[in-house]
Amino acid sequence: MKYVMKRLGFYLIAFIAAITLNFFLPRLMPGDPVQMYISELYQSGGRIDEATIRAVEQLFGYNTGEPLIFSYFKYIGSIFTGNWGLSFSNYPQTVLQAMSRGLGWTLFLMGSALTISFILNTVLGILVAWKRGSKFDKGVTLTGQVLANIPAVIVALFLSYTLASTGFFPRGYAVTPLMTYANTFEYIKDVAYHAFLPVTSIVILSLGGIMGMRANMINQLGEDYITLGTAKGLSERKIIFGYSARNALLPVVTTFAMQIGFMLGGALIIELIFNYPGLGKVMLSAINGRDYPLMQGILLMSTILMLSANFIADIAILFLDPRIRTEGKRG
Amino acid sequence: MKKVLALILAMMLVVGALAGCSTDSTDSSTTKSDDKSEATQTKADSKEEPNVLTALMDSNDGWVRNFNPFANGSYQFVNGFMHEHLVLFDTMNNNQEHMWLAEEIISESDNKTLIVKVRKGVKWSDGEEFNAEDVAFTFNYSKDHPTIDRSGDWGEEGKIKSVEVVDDYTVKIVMREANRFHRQDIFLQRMMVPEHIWSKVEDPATYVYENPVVTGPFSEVKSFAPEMVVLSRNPYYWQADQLEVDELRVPQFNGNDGALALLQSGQVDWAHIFIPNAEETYIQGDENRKFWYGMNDGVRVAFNYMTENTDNLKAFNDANFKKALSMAVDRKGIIDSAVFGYLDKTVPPVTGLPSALLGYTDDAAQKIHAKYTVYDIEAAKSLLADSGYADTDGDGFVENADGTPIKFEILSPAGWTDWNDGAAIVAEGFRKIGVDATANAVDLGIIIESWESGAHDVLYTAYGNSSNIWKFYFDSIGDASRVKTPTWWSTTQTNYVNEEINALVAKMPNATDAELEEITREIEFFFTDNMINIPVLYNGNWFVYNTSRFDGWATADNPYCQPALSVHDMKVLHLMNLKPVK
Repeated sequence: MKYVMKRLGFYLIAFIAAITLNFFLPRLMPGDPVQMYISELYQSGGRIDEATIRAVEQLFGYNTGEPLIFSYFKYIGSIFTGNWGLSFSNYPQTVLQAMSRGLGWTLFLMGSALTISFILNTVLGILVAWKRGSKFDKGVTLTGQVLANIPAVIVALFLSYTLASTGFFPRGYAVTPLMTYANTFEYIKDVAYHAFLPVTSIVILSLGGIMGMRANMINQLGEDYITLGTAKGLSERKIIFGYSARNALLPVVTTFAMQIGFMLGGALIIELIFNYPGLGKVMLSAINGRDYPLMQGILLMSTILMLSANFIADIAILFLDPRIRTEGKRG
Repeated sequence: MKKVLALILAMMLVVGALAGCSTDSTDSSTTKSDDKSEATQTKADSKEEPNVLTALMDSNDGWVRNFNPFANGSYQFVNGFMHEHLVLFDTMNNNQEHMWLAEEIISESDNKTLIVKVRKGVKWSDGEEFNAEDVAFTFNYSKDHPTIDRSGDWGEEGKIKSVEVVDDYTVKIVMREANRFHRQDIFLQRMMVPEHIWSKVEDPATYVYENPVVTGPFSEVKSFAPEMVVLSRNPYYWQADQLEVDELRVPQFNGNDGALALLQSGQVDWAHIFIPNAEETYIQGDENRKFWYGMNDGVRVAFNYMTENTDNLKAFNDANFKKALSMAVDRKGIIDSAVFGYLDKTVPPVTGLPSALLGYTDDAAQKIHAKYTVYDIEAAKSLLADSGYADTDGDGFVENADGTPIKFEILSPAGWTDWNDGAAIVAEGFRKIGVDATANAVDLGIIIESWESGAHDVLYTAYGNSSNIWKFYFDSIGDASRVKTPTWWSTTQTNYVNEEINALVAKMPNATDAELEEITREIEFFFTDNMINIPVLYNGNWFVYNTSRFDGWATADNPYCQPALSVHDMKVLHLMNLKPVK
């Protein structure tokens, strides 16, 4: 219990630090939302009057005279009441509405990519560990390591130029824009087709997981209980999947949870490159429009996602690793 | 252990599935409503296949169902295609007027009173009649709601004194101050709204307007999804005989790449976008795919006459220095490299007038000015030398005659790539004649902040569009009160103050035609003598179209109206001229 409380305390401090940064960082950027709105108006050929600026300021309730610390506490309060405010650039949508549009697609991308990569990493990790030292092992681990260490931008751009620009896969969007669907199945097919390249990019970036699984498996295979099992004449399959893989998987779960945060950042870049309408795109337009409430909302959401993933990993360790449990009891 | 593992896996699957499902369900609901409206539509559209126009307008991350014309950043199709104007001003052809929901607008000789004769027989899309009450309401509405008073009609410095209904089809508008240009100021981009709907709305700026009631060609929302808006004909449209487009489809896009992908599919008829290397990326041998980037507002090199750098200021205040710089600007090079040679080669006149105001140029002044717009490095160098600029400290760059150094940055907003390239080419030219200039693309926010602080030296920027010649001069040079304020497209860009010019501009609102001609001539000559800015080129009016489904487009040979599909009034007139290809 003490362990849980300690972790909770840590997350609380991390959370407060994160939301404070969320508040101040956007405000340190030059430019304000009203001017950004006017600049968009200029670029699309609208007329700009002094009165336009005054009216827009009034509309946003934008008051440069308000002390920053006052706005800060208002912001902290609003986080907990669930009222994240109105988005400037998607007026009159609220921040939550504007975010939910992109969040669905991002979670879909992340969810599919994580599921695929988890399965792929685990299975490949088990297989290469079993055949360690073989050509297969060397080939897979080397390829995996190389691919996983290429920056997200390059992986995505490479796929975009080779597979999207040549017309095999779409260059953007989550669905075909001018399409009317005959049935739901057709829609799902279209969504999968559009998600293929972004998901593939994320999966490639996560291939480093093979190494983790491989190392754990090799450790397990050297344990006495494996030798005992082999001696007792258990089948190879039973030993790999029934004994060693199950134990080897445990540490992988925690690194996997920590990876979620890292991948969330990578996914944003991938969305930008594949013009995928997820949270990354929403974030970019929020930054360009100096849409403070929306920027804060998205950063807050990412913070919550990352901290929760890590917290879940901590709890998982608690259950999986007897050493921590006993330490907790002793204390 | 197994349980925890299973739990985590299950959670991930649920998250993924939820995301998939949620998008799924919204889609099926839209397709369902689609079916419904289609069923109701069949009665009206029982003839044959509807004529569908697909247009790319408004870059965004997904449509939000709100047709509110007063909302912040209201959609471009709402302006003109849904809510219409009393009169259309052709912002390309000398602001030529086309009466629309007004039959006539009379400017009384006091320069204060405007009489609007409202067109008879126009109906709102819910069947109610459009009349003088609606016009008066539209103007008076912003009196009680300052958040939608975007053109400054009311309030302390408001333009309007009163708006009254005279009879069912006549409205009298009285201005606070006499100004012969009020009609453009008052009616440009002014969308009419129905009194019977909006009088019940409490906060028009934030009202979510899902089912629009309009006078325009498209009033029915056939389907609405974040990916695409589909609108169909107004059953009561007053020009139904003219309108041959039955359905308007506006797909979502959020950047050049997305737009280009849609254009390449060949399904887009009309777009407001700049396409780099259009022959290869878009036209691809298809003779129906066309584009024409006509003139928009002028782009200039603008000096800050209140810069903190007093050494630079000495040079900036010398007309010969700026004339030499102007000759070092490779205008053709900028057009060719920054925008692939697609823009009009015309150099903006001395004062940088936008295309809608070209009628106010003076030929004699133009002729003098033209001499300094020819790219000639040698001539520029000798003009500099003759004016006392020499490299006295041997660093390769010239100094002021008193030996003080000249060194400045040319700022442009980062991400406005054609401007960034243009500024770089300008700086290169300046360096060629020995002036130590560098181009720097910085965040737009920094530029706006520098307007206020006066910290910058030189901007690569536009003049902006204005509703009339008086406003153009007032905003760009005639208003000393806006010096060092963060105000867009105004005196702020140069912080130039000159009593003589201010007095001339102040006379314009009440000048006779002859006086106006004289005033604008004097201003032109003042600019020619002093080279306050360096006009560079015209911004483009991005107009991309496809003739495979529709004919009748405005073209470079037949520029009957402003063709761009953006926030301006003329696009509805353009729409009326589109005829399906048989």
